[in-house]
Amino acid sequence: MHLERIQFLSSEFEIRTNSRELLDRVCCLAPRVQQEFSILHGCRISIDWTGEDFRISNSDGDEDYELSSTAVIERLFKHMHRLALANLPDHTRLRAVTVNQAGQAFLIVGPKCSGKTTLAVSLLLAGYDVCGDELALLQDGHAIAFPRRFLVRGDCVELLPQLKSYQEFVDSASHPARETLIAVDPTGLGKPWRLIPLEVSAFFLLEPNYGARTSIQPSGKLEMLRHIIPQCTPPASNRANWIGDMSCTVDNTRTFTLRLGELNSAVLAIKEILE
Amino acid sequence: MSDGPEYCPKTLQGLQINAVTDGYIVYQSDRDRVHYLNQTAALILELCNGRNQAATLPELLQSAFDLPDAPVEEVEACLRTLRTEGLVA
Repeated sequence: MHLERIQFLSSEFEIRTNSRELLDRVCCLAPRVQQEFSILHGCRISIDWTGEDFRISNSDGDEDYELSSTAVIERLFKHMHRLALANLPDHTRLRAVTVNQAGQAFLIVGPKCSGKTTLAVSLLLAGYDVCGDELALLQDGHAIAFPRRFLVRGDCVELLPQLKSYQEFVDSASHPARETLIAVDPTGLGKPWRLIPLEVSAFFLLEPNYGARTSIQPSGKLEMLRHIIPQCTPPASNRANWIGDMSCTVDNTRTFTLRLGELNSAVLAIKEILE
Repeated sequence: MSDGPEYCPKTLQGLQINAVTDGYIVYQSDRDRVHYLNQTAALILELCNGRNQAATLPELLQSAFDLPDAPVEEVEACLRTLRTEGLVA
């Protein structure tokens, strides 16, 4: 039996399997991130190759079967993500890039396919300490990124030429017609990746301005909240006044609208405004 | 105003009112709705305390924002919206 432990913030998953190959693939996909978060919850997951299919079961007695290793890995990660988030029931979830700058976080908020991940990788390559590309968990003015590899669309290779030496991008570029998501781990690019709850210092609201130069304008708090609140998933605990918490957080930070055009100018504009 | 000169609008109970620099975020838990009030609407909501007559609100706003004229129509429209949305009775 082979064993691996994977941490997602306050949750640790012990994965046992009789398939070395499967575990190697799981380890390749697990985020190699340093998490300064006390582990409060444990869960044991077993995946057994029966000779015909994969049997997946957990310490709660749930059991299911998948035919392929790809399907079982997908199910495993979805399961771990769901449980890890459920174990942080007081946090508000927000679709946002989280960047650690001098011990404080700035968040880049935007809906799906608005360019968050592409901008996150650009900032990472420019030397920023980017913690997450998609999901931030907020409480009492602090944010922590959910530990997930950055999922870059394969067709963004042209926008991120610095990644052309990244093996998974090379593979993707050889199949340009195929729509792929490439799981980028900052440590794979030689960057540090560390998660710690950070006080939020600024919000950027992403608006597309593709093909043009990026511009940044100060934004009102009300306008920012009007865009942010619909992007939030309220705390699962139904924590009272989470909207008050978000309002207070936004009101105490600097707020900007970032009209995202060309990526290099976006990185420069963010740098200028924060410095 | 439709309720006559004696009508004193009052903010309903049970609202979570959160002040930010440029307005109010009001959460109506029974309808699970969020309302974004700019500074003018926020002040009108504040003035809906059950003591101010609706007819006096335009003058109070004129005074608060140092306006040349009392914004009668604007206040009426805002008050109508606040009532329609169930924030004021």
